[in-house]
Amino acid sequence: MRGTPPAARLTFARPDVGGAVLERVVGALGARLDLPLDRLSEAQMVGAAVASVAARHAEEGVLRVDLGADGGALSITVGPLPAGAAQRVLDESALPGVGAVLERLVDHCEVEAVDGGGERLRLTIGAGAEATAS
Amino acid sequence: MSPDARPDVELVLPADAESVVLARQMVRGIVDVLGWGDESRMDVSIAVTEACTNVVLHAYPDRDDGEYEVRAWVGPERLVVGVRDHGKGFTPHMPTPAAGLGLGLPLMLAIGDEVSFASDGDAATEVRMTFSATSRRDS
Repeated sequence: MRGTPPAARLTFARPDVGGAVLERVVGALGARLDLPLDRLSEAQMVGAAVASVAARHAEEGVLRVDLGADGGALSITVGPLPAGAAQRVLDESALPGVGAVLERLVDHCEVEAVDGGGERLRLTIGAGAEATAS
Repeated sequence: MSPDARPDVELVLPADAESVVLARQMVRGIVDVLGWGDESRMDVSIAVTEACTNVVLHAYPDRDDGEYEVRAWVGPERLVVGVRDHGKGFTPHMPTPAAGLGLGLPLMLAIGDEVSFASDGDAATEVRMTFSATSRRDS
């Protein structure tokens, strides 16, 4: 988002409902960007996984997710989360034989420090590029 | 599901035309979780679309940085959706061509079990609609 206001800011207290909403809103934003169908589907999987996994680490059980659609890529920024939680979210998305699903599906992921403590996990999904993690 | 309770889901959107589809997807996702079926999904979607479109068209006539919130309180038998803006608020009668057929309010009233309008000291205006799986059948 960095200079560009988010296209949507989602906050939810119920992961079941938040996951369904996030999956659909991510899909609509991906369609706005004309993402290829496979990337659109993967973006929706990322949204559902984020809602499920990150909600366990949300402060007071309320998770905030900022969504951006800019420069041909979709960004999903989760948090603020407690320090160390962003990496745990990535680790907990792992599936046997697959690895960390979130890192595999996105083009880029990074952990951003938040003023006053805590951090955000920022995931970027574009039309397609080799996944990287930093 | 107290009206003063923290919403289960809140989506903050820029008040532009592209945002309305995101609000629609939000409530469709919620209705999917509730398992209410296609007719309810369509009805809730239409009512929320009308409320959001009204905000986009009329809440911020002199600004292009306005935002609005779509908030939902989700119960097993009841869904409450509020559409809140911080601009000029709800205008049921809209004489401009952009207002279309002016069916927004009648549609909301026809579809929802309850529809209310409220303003608070924060200069916020909210349209709050209550739905159930049988909203239209009971009306």
